[in-house]
Amino acid sequence: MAPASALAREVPVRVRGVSYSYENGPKRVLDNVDLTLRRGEFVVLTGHSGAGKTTLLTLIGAIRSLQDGAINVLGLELGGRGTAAQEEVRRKVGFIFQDHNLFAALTVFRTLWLATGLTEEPPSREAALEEARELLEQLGIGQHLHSLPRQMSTGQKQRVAVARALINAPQLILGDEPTASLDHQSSQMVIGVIRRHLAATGASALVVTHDDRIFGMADRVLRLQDGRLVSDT
Amino acid sequence: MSPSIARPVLEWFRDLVGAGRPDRGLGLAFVSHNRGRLAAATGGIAMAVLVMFVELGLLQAILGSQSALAGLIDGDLVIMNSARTNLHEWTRIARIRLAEAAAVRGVANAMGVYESGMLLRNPPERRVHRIIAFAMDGQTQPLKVGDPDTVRRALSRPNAVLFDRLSRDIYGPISLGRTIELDGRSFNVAGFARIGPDIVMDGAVVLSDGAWLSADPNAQPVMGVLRLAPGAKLEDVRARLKVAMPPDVAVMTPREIYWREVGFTFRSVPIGIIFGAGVATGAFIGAIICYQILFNEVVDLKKELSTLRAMGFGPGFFRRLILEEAYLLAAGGFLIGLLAALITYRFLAGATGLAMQMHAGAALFVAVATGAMTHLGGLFAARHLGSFEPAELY
Repeated sequence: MAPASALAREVPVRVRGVSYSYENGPKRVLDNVDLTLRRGEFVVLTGHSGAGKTTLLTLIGAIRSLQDGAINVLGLELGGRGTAAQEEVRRKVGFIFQDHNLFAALTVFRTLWLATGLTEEPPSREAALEEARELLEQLGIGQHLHSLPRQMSTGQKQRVAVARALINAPQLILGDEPTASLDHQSSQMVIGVIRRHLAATGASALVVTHDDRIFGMADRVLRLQDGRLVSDT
Repeated sequence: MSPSIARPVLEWFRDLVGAGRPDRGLGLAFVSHNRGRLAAATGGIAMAVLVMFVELGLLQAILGSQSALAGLIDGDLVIMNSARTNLHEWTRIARIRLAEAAAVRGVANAMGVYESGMLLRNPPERRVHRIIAFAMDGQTQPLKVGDPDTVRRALSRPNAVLFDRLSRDIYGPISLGRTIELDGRSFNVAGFARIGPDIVMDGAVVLSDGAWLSADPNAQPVMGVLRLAPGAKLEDVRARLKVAMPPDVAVMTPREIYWREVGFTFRSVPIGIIFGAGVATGAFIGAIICYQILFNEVVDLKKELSTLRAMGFGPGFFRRLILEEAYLLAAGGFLIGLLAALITYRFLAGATGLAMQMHAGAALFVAVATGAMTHLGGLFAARHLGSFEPAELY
């Protein structure tokens, strides 16, 4: 039997029998879901509105507390964990949210440098500057290193949010409609950068999306319907 | 500053401005980003600081002016009637006590100080105004009321008077050589003294004890100022005086009189409570303003702050961020408030004649109170962050 750490490295996300209901909700949003994400995989999670995609993503990301079932993320069991332990899990994950939610007062570099504060040993300002410059170049917004959000387009801001998720080289990336505000070319670029990150680091990514343009770039496409996983292709 | 102290101070400052760690020093960016809010916040806190400074300034000025006479005493010990509970009460001692005190071993000189209220008329004005009159020997000068040579020369002339230059201007223009009337007697203004008004008296004049006694040969002094002989020990002389004097005579140092006067003013008129309440109100207003401003900021940035929570930033980070902002607002508000207080002090000193002065102790007290009130406001504002659920982003 493989040691737990080796298993966590090879299978960064294991979801077993997870069900979830919202307070006062009429029915279960997730119903006995099983899911496994392997090392280096880029997996797309899709389904119609209300299928439970985002709920599943937030449960895996320790943003919501687990009700039924078990989830293991990067070797950490999420069931019954307190707020501090949930924060520990979140710090290890790179989140890309649907809205960029950048602080108007912070430059792009300051935003990225702030994100590095989540690591146990944050890099120096100079090292973070180099890393941020390289990442932004890859995302096609290298000229905006010291820009404020108001000086950028919505698509550019979303790419900053992607850079914020990648700056700490996380072993797991969770994205909620990360390309929703991007045109086709930018979407391809962003997914390309994420894929290159996975290839270089062995990290895995689970992305919730309706954008069928990126289905072809995924290793697997999972489909949720009425809270159940109905296909894995 | 030694290197062992300089390094932690430097590191603290680097942390504060965000030069060291990525999750520090954001307060400055947040505070300075919205200039309208920054102006409102610092203006509001500056107003609270000004209220505290004015309350403290008035309290200090009143306490200082009420006990100013103690600071004018130029001697080592003072004998007074033990029934005299404060300097504004003129319970007197028998003049013979001066001679008795002077006879005690170790006392070089015992000088009487006379004090009473008089009515001053400044011709050609018809109206009279009450004024406090002091009398003393111009040669030995038991009270320091001005340049010793000027005082000596002026009080050696017959019917001469020193007018207190710091008196309120109700007495009209009084210049050197002018003739004024005190209780119907004419006196020539031979010089000026520096005593200062308080909340009871508007002004003062100083006469020679000779002029005083010629008007009332039975006049009794309000105090006797004693100077010790060279080499005499104060406590020994005090002990001998207590034995030599009857029990209705108290023996005190000028410093003891000062603090007794401060204590009396503090207790008898409840100014401690009145001005203390004023300072507390200022601090409370400041805390409310700081809380309101930071709370608005937290609400406006709810999505952005929730995003950081979702990313894994903990409560400590948010508390530090809000407190950083609170301290910066406190620093800005304090500096503006201090400047406004200095201007207000000048105005109030001119308007009331009270000695409104900025003391380092008061400035330190208000600085600490400002830090405390903004800290409190910041902590309450930061508490709201705890209610933000990152899951609400979805």
